[in-house]
Amino acid sequence: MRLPGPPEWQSQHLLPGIAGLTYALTLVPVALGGSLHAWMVVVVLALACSLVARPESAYGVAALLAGVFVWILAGPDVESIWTPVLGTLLLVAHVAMAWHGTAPPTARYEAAIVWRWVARTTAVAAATFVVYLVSVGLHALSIEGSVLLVAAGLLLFAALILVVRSDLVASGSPVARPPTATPPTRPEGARWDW
Amino acid sequence: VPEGSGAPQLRSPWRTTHAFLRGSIMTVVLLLVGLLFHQPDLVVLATPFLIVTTWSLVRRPTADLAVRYPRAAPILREGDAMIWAVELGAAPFVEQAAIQVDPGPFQQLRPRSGVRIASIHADDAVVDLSVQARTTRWGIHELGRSSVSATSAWGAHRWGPVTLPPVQQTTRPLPAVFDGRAPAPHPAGLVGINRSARGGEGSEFATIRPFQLGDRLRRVHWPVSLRSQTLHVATTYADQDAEVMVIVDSSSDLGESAGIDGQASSLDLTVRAAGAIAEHFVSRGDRVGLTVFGQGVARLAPAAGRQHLWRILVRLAGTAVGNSADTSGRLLRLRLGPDAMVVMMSACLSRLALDEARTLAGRGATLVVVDTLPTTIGGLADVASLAAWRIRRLERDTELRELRRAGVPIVAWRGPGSLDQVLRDLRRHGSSPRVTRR
Repeated sequence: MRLPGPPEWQSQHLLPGIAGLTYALTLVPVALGGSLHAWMVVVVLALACSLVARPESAYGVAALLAGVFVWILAGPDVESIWTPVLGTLLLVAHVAMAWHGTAPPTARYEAAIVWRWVARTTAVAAATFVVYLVSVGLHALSIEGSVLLVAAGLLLFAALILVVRSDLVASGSPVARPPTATPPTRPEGARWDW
Repeated sequence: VPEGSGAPQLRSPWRTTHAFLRGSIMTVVLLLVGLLFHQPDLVVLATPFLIVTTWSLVRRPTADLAVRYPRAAPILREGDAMIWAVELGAAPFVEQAAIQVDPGPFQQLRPRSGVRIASIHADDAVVDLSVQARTTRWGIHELGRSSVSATSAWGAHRWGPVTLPPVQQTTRPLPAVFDGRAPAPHPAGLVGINRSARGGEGSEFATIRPFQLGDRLRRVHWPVSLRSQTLHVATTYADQDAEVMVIVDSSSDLGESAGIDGQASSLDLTVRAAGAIAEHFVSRGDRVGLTVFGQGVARLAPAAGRQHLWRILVRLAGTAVGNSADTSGRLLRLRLGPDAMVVMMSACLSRLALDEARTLAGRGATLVVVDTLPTTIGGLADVASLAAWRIRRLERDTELRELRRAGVPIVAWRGPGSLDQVLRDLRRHGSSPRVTRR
């Protein structure tokens, strides 16, 4: 099924804007999940502005870590429902910055590229909610070392994927075929209405 | 589509990006802090970054990419467009490719930004990154100063950007609309469509006279022969071609050029008018030569045919503004026949051009000066510039009056019919005896 969408989509200021906006919105789960202070608002908004100005730079990692630091200092409940919301907002900010770095700022994107990024981000956000539910479930069962279990489970899952991938590449996966040097034939005609 | 593709010589390693480092650092820091301080919420916060980082590692491309790009650009006319065909050989796990072409002066690109993004799918062998380029002014331009890059999933790894070498692209002028019904003043060659003063094989009727030995039977005029009871033949004037030398004065360029779609500078008008006159006389079967003077003197000997017209237009495309004193006196060595016609296209602002015109006329050349100064000159904003320009215009009017007094016909370029009256006058004067200074 082909998803509806705009034929073209220009990123010039939109992606940095999305990154800054979603980062600034992290104040909402912080305020709802813990206690928000004025200095936190100032810091987060200043870092949001820095993300808009220089999205693909070292400011990005500093801003994301600062966002988590603000969350910790706000003192929320470890099972707070706002945790995956914050995670999703940080993810969207991160993805917007990464996406902005893939092409010159004046690029116009096709609908296929837009939907690829949106679908993947949605899938990762959904996985974050699943992990949150598992974490809450383990905590509710009062299992000793639930944090370690969740983290170990995640790392094991990641390691498994990496190992499987290396085996596939080593065995000549059909995905990993060499590029063809012959270009396809191009239709004739180079006149347009300008 | 330009022919000739570049070999895949442009190489670049795959580099990790800020995005990948950011995701990795967030994953490691959040997991470590979460485990050390038994904070399950931090492990949850680490989850999206862990997934993205793992995904990026799984889909990490390693193969080098090959870029195919044009090494030569076709010769275009003003206003024509071409495809700047760049292709990238796809490799596994490469998801997106981008090209950024910097538009040079008098170039329009589509997309307008010169940036094109292509999504790469698993079954793609080659990615098309072509950009359409349109050239809006004659000249030799640099085209294709561009950079190509490719990225993997989540923008985690980047190939390039590699810079593609630009190529020289020649844009020949689009000749202005021109037509003329007056023939060349002194046709002398054996082919062409100019009517000769002498009888001979041609198409224009001359008279009917009694049959003589040697006349062709197909020329017999039967109605008159029947009436007079003696054979009569219809005679025609011979067709002849003329030798025309177009001289282009490139010593100055006044006004602002906005390309084919906008305002023309004086040199734009000169070059396009020269192209139009050359095209007109070539289409009549005449032999046309070209001399461009200014920065130096470039010469193209008179010849006939469409191929020669192509050569003239390409040579006109290389016209550069300049004023070199070395060109003084070199125009006289035109190596033309005695019946050749010289058409000088000039904005009549350079003393050198006016002096050369006066000297050529004094030596008996059949010369017409075409004034190609535009009616409006752009770029004169302040009062001082306007006043200076008015003074210069008055001086120029005086210089042109002196030139006319010296016997040089000067006509303003107005497109079709600009030369008709002056060519008829020259033909009439040419049939009468003349006094020349030797």
